[in-house]
Amino acid sequence: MENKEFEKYLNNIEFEDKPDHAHRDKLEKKLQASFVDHS
Amino acid sequence: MIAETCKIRRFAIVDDCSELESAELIVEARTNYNTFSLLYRRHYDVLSKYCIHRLFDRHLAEDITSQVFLCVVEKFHSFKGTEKQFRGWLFVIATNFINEHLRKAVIHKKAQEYFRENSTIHNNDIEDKAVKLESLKNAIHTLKPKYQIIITLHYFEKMKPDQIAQILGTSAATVRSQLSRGVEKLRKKMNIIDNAFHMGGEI
Repeated sequence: MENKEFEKYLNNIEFEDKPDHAHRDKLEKKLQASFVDHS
Repeated sequence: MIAETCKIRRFAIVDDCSELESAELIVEARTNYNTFSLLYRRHYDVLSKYCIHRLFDRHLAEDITSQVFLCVVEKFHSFKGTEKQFRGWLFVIATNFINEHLRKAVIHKKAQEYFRENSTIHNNDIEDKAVKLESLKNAIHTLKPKYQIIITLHYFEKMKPDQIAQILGTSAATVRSQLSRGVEKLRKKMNIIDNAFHMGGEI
């Protein structure tokens, strides 16, 4: 691939990167416990 | 209690709040878990995506995301700044954890081995998006961390050089130059795979 073509490839790359909100909610519980410990 | 709820709601509604408001939010979040939770929820997705883009591994990315936020809770009292700076701080912490992980967990070595082993990959496979993404992952992980960070922030997080410069504490000119060098190195690594196919054998 040439420079321009490669940059276009990088710009248009698609990831399965949708954040998992179940993980977010699970982590939040840990954070809350830790927050209490540190305050 | 009502006043507190109103304050949180105000922060939640004004997504692009002023510097003063965002600094207020940070101060408030030091002692009020509900405000901290709001801050966490506002930044979780961005950080999570950055970790996925750097590591190309969702589970690993979740582990690192957890480590980052737990570290934030631990050190939050020492953070002073606006919400925009807070986001930059998250990227810095995440970058350090990821680099440390890549150094320790031998992913770097494994990536290099994988990269060599898969250099004879067939063109039909190269056409396949998933395989190409896997090749990209392994090629990126053979780059020096500074190139990995800049390429990820620019191409995957869609940040401009001056935004990256703020996070890395360098100049936009340095970012532009390292970005250009990094992309060239990455392109050459990716081309090795294509060339191996055209030559019909191992490299």
